[in-house]
Amino acid sequence: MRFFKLSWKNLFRRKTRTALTLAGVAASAAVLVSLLGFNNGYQNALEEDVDRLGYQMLVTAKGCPYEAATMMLSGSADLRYMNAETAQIIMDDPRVDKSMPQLIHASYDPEREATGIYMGVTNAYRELKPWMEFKEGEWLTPGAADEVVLGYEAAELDQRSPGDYILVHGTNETLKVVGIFERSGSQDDAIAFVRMETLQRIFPRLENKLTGIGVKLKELDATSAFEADLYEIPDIQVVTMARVKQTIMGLVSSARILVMSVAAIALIVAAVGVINTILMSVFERTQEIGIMKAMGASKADIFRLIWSETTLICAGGGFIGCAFALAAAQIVESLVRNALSYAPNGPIISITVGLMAACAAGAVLLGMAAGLYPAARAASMRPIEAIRKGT
Amino acid sequence: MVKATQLSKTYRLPNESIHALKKADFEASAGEFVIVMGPSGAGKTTLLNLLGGLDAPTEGSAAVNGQTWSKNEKERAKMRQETVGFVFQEFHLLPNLTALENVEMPLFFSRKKNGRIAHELLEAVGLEHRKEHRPPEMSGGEMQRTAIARALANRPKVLLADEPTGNLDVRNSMAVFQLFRKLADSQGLAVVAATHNAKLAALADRVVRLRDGVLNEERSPA
Ligand SMILES: Nc1ncnc2c1ncn2[C@@H]1O[C@H](COP(=O)(O)OP(=O)(O)OP(=O)(O)O)[C@@H](O)[C@H]1O
Ligand SMILES: [Mg+2]
Repeated sequence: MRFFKLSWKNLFRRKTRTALTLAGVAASAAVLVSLLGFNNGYQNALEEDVDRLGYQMLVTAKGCPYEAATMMLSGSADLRYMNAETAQIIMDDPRVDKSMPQLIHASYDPEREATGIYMGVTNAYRELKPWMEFKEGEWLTPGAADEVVLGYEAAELDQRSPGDYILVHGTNETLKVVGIFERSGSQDDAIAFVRMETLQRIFPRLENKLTGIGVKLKELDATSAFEADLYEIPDIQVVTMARVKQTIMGLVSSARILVMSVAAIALIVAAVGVINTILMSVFERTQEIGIMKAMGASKADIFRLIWSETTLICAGGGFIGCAFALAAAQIVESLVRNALSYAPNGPIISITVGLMAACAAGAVLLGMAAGLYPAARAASMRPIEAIRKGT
Repeated sequence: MVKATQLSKTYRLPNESIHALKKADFEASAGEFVIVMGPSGAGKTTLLNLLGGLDAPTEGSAAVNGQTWSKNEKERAKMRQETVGFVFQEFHLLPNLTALENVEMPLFFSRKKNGRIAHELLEAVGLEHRKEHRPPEMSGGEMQRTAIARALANRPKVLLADEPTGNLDVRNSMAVFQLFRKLADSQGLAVVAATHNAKLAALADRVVRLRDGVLNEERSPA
């Protein structure tokens, strides 16, 4: 412990230099912790998002799923639809546990500058997503043809409450609000849910049509076999949630590799900075090192002394960096969220205790590695030359 | 206690060789205080460095406490630790440490138990009131006395002082040499000190003279 005391005192001799070096290490550590935190958090949040869909597989009419999504969001009515008969074949398959037919209608209302999304559903929706809770009111009454349940955000946008009537944009039809969901953190928050028959009645061209069916199988293992069988049916396509995860993670991971390389470079720069600082202070203290050797210090003593200085700087910088990353996580989260094309709903930067411990340990290791050369240089100084050099 | 046999040192420079020390025979026994005198460049520092194992001779050998300096740096470090104390003209205290910490430093390297040794040594050199002062807050005489206390921390057999009074005034110089005299008498320390000052020589048992690397014994001044 005495070695650390001596090293500590040495570091305090050049406060500005030590502080700057510390800041460099801290900055790299903060970047690294944030990045790894993002790595963790994004994946978890994404998986949670996908799991919250309630089904493992979405069967839709053939076409590009991305195209469908953009059309839906831009308010075009030209979504691709599949036939109710085809859907029925799938729903009747003995391997299917639960299935949720859905029919989406989206229309852009220029006056409100918002896209209204209606989803025609059946009671299966409640079964597949039992966690959707009501903030007010309740689920659609059986047989009632003109009711609507609003997602949290959909209700908030127009300040709706149960009992209100809403006019379906582009028609003369009105619907009565019977329930409003709690915020779920998923896409469903922006949707207005009506019965399948209601939507088909309001928009007669949707008669006998479906946008897709969410399918939950009895056994998860059967997913690939079932998927293969589905492709026997013409004009449909299957999106498994596992593949959705993969695709999105693939998009993110290319960006992640870039960012990780930046972090690695930051780390190398920090290490070089530390080596430079310590080496400089070793040369400055050449004479002192000679004196210590004359006083009986062995090579190993000098090595340890300089080594612990480096380790202290890096450990300190790592600690400060971790603390800083933790403190700034909220800000970083919102910055990253804005920069991403698809951001899941959960927290995407998750800085855990384990992660911080790993980074602190990493900083100590970095210090140990960076300290090797300066420490070896100092240890190998010959006492007589070291003493003379200073005079 | 400290002995040199045919000790020679040649510094080889690119286009000349400097024979700093030529076949010097020298001995100082326990309790003896020997002064090395000679003009600048005569080889005083060279001799002391070789005696203290800070440097290796070109020829001949130096021994301390009956043990010849090894070529192995690890063993040399251990020998320095156990048998030799150094005092320099420029004091060479660590500026960021207090007087007490400076004196404790050799103990720290020898892994000896500190206890009150450092306190006692500072008290012995009359610096009990300066223990917590750092070198920049001390006078030259105080710094040199701190350095002497430091040199004594590991209870060496030999004290080597290279122009220890070169940066001190007459009064402080006298005090330092009187301290050496006392250490030789009371603790049986062999003290070898280099100086330019002939007046201080009166305190020593013996004076040896160096000129162009050649060492000559002088009769005892007393
Ligand atoms: N490392 C070295 N390389 C080359 N020559 C050296 C070296 N060290 C000392 N010398 C030479 O050896 C000779 C003796 O030097 P030394 O330092 O021993 O003299 P000194 O008696 O201590 O002098 P001073 O009283 O000025 O301290 C000098 O000529 C000096 O220039
Ligand atoms: Mg000299």
